[in-house]
Amino acid sequence: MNVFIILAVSGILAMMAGVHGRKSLGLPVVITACLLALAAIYIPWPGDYSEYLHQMLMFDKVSDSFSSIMVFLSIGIFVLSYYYYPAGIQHLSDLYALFVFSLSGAFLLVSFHHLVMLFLGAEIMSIPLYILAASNRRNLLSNEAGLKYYLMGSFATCFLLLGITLMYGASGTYNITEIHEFVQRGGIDVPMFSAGMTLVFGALLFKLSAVPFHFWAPDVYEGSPTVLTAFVSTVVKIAVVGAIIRLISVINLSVVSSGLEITQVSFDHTPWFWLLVLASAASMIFGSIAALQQTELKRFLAYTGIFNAGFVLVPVLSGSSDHSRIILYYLAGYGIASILCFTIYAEIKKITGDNSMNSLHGLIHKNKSAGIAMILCLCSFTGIPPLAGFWGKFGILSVGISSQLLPLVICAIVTSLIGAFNYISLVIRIASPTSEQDSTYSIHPVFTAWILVGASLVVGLGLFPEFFQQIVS
Amino acid sequence: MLSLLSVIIPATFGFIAFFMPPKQSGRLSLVSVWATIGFTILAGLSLDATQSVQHVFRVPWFQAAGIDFYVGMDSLSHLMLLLSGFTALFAVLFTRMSSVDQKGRFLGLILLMQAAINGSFVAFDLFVYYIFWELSLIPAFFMLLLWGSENNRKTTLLFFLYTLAGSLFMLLAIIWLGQEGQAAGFSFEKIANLSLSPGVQNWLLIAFVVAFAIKIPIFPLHTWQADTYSSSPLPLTLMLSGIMLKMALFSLVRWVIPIAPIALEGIGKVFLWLSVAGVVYASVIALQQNELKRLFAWSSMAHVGLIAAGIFTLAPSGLSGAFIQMTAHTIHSAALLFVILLLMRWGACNDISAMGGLRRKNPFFGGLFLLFVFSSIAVPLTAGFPGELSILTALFSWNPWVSFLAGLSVILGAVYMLKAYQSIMLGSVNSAMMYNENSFQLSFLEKIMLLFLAFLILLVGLFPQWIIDWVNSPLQEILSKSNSLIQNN
Repeated sequence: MNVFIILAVSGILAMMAGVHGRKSLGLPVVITACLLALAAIYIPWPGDYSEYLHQMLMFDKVSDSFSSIMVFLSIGIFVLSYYYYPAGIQHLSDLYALFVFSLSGAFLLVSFHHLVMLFLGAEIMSIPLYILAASNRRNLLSNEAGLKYYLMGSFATCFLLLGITLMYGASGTYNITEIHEFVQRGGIDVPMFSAGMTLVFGALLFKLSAVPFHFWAPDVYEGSPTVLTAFVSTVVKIAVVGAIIRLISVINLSVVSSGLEITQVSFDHTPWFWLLVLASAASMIFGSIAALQQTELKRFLAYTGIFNAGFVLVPVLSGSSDHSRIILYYLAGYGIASILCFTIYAEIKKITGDNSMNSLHGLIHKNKSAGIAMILCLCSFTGIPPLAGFWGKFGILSVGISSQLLPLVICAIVTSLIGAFNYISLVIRIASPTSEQDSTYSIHPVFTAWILVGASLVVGLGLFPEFFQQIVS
Repeated sequence: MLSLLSVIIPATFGFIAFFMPPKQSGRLSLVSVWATIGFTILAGLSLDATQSVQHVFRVPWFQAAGIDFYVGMDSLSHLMLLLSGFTALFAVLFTRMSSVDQKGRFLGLILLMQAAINGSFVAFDLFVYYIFWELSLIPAFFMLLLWGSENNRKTTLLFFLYTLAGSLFMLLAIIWLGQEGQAAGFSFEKIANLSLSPGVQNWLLIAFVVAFAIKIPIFPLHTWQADTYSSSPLPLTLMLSGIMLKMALFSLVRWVIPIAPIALEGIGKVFLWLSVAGVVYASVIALQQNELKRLFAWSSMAHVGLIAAGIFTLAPSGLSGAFIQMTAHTIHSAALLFVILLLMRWGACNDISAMGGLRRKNPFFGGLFLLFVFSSIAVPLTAGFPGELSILTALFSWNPWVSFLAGLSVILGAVYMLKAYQSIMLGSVNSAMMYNENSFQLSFLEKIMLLFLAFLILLVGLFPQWIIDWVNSPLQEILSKSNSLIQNN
């Protein structure tokens, strides 16, 4: 709870700084707050702070590990935003305040123990994002992104509420522990409860940009300011996956899969299990194939985000929460590489004004560190050892195999291959020799240093996977 | 520790050479390859050929998944390390002899590739093996992309994705194996001692063999090879054909036979037939080739198809013949590619039919080239013969028709190699060819290299028993275990 208080207060402070004309204080305030939040997660306070508000919030291992990764990635995003936003922009500190409010909502989303908290967390996280998506007010695409995100997000929230209501109607309680007991007594077969769970999962899948709720993602990713795209594709996804894990694990259903052969469908399976399976498979297929045609980098990364959403749903389907560490490892590796990609992309766009992937052509000759970092990120996405993405993929495939989700795992591998085609084509483009020998992109040295820090994190996480496990345990 | 050094030395020197100017990086790479060979010989002196894993280096790496960083050496690995050292030495020498721009980076990539390939030879943990297998692709990818011939984007992409596809299915099999058994773990001891049911072995075999079949290559997964070999710069072609495909062949013996012996007896027959079919297919295509490097590529496929067939027979003569033939094939690759390098430097073009009569220009070269050709054809007393004989014997015991087909390929091999030699070296000089001024001279170093290759060919041809004795013990152990599993079935 300390984390939430720190983040919320820092948001208010940032807004106040803006009101009093010191908007340059916004960024230091939020970065300090994130560092304090990390400390608050790791340094144990005296006393038992695990439950709050009459068991509406529960701070356990899953919550701590997910929120620490989210805060860590947010620090990276704030560093990016320092170079992204021009200094004289209006409402600068308000933008930071909105980010931090969204982060605090994400924090609630991974710590909920009461269905109303699930709703609150989702809303607190999403509403600032709608505003931020449209924050580039002069840009038509940004306005489109904000409007689309807001409208579709509100629909999703409606479904979330309806689902929560149905679950309450079936079980008679909002508290997760009591719902767990209801389920143990056979509540899983109650149709109203299943319907409620299906709707709740549908809403959460929307936030995750999984098929068939993905239609907002490419336009919103493309139109929003790059900093917001980085935030949505990393932190928001982590939060939503954390929420899904909590929902499944706390309800503690052991989901037994008998594969996807149509002739053996057992009617004991709930509809939301099939929703998740189909969403996972379809996201992987759609995300990898649709990315083939993309020419604009942010849309390309949106489709790879859809692919990753499908990929990360595979261990979620295993039904137990022991795999949250593996999922988190995958998301952390994906998050760091993603933020690095967006960082480099934002800088290149600022230099060349060209936002298509052609600006990446021959990048490694124009600016070595940016080119190498970009290649490392793309290789991490492909899953080449010993980078961070490889261990994440390995972990998820292991979980998939041990939970007997073999058809889904094969789908994951085949679509990974298509994804590999996408990423390696881009790597080839980056490494190709260019005809214009004298054009180089000069990047501020401190920014280059940050790019190299990010790249070494990607490599380091890959070389020392144990280190990560120790951090989040 | 010595096994770890075979990975660390090339890797470190490779990294450093990457950033250095051409002249220093050339010297540094030579230091690196000689140091690696030196340490490999040192390790071999203290290696007991009859025992299993020695020179072990094992630290826990990713405990949650049971992965240890476990490397070690037995005499099989040691032979492969020697071959890899030899190949890297010649690759570095080729690079120094040719005009490659940004030599430092190229040499760095060669050394990194050698490090990854060495890693796959010394790995005794299946996951570590997989990581090195994947890692070896990356330097090859960049070398092909940045230093290859024109319009090679498609070739590079095909090469990388084709190999990656096989590797991903192998990863599935590896992950599954790691979870089998009492504890999660990927060490060789655990995996080799899993006794799996035939059905499971079948699909594991398919997953592994598909990945290796792409690499070797075995018909029909070979389509990436000809384009890749001919678009690559010559040192990369040497690394690919000299040692990278040996990774796949070696892994068949080290990992696949212990894991899936029953399946190898069963559906492995199909792979044997496919290998031999590929040998004949490649030989026929090689007959029609007019380009030097493409001819080399198809002849390479013909030879390694035979090695793969030898391994699939699961007979002692087949396996030991396969290892001798692997040695011979590495020497042949270096020799024939050296010949191609020299021919290209003298102004010969890629088209064989346009050349002629070069023997008169440099008889020393002509004679040794002929020796290399003879060895490639498996003339007795040269390196190519003992292995071929053993493998054909094993194939005959397996099924006489298969050995008839394989024997056909020997004949076809003679045809295309001798035909190529004839068009290049014999006859009259083609006056339309513009040869360089002061052409056809060989420097002292080049003469030494040619003589060294000839010496190795004769050495392996006259004393193959040394190789057989060296690798005998691990092979016997592998075969006896697999035979007992087959009999118990």
